[in-house]
Amino acid sequence: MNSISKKELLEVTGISYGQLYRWKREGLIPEEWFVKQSSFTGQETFFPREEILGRIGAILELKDTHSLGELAGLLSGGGDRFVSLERLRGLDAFSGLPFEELAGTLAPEGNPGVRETSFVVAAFAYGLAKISTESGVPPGECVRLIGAGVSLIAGRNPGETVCTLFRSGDGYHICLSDGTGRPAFDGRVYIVGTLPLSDAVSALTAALKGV
Amino acid sequence: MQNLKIDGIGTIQGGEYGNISIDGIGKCEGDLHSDSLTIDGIFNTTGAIRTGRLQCDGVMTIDGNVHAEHVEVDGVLTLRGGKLESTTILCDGVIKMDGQISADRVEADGVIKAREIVGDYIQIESHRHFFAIFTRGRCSRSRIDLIEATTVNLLGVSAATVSGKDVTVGRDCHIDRVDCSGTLYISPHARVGSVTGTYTRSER
Repeated sequence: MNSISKKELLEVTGISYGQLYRWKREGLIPEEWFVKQSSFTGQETFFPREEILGRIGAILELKDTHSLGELAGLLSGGGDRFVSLERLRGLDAFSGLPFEELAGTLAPEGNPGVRETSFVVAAFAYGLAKISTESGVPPGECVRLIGAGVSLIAGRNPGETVCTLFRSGDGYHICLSDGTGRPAFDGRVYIVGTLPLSDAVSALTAALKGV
Repeated sequence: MQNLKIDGIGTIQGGEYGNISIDGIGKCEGDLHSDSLTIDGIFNTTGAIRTGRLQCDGVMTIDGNVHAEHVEVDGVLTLRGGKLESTTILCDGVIKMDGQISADRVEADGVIKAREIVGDYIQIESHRHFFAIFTRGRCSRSRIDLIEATTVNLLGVSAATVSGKDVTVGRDCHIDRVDCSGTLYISPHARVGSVTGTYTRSER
């Protein structure tokens, strides 16, 4: 894993010790990211590079318009996992897609500069991108569908939500349902694929481990 | 929420309270959430503490973590294993712990023994002799492995590493390593092992 030392982090981002530790106390930076390693000068603290730079960037972008408490909720989703957009860029499922456009749909609403997204949103995008590219859905359409789906899945239970990708006429659409029930369509609708969100979460977890 | 006052000897159940005041001998099992916690006697708890204002004028021993907005210690506060997090910490007494203190502002005229103190502004001015009665005759110096903050002012402190932007190492300090990225003052009556970083030396 690519690491950055605490000292280099402060130099690169321009933040102070006071800010770093205040944000850690407020839960904006997970304790697990502070990794102590022995170096020739003694013990030094290192962070996962992409994650910490993404997180600090997000905090700096949002701190003037949100309280620290609001930021904690926004960034960590009350304990949900979080993933940086840069980590997603390297995944196969997204390789055929215009990534910057995709990143715009995944960033928190109203904050396009934030380079992180919640794990559930990332998993939804990953799963839908996989089905879409395997079924020949044009990349632009795929990104549009992901964007539409991101606002639909907000607040839904990832354990129960299933996304159905279907084609009607010459347009692609998605439909979200809960539990084991599936929507029933008439004969002119072609079901391209179904994506249980829980499967997408597992698939993304596995894919990121391999990266 | 319910306020609680112990004037004699009592046990508190963990839970949520308004203002808690212990004037005698109090004990708690479980985590405590309160608006304020004031100790004038003796208080031991096996759990964690989350409170707005922690005032320790007596002797307090805590097994878990402490999270507060404001901490003021005029007596003796001992943490057995946990960390201490607060916006401000004032210590005219003794804070003794193995873990990390993290605060925006730490101002201590007393003695602090901790593994690490980190934050924005850390000022520790420990004077010899005065605290011998609290430290049972042992050396009354503050001893910390790592002090790291934007601004650090020290007097009579022993530390392995001090890291900061603006650092003042006053008399009677024994520091193994100083790393500074702003302005640095080292008293001629202090002992410093090595100095690293890009800094401007200040001659008081």
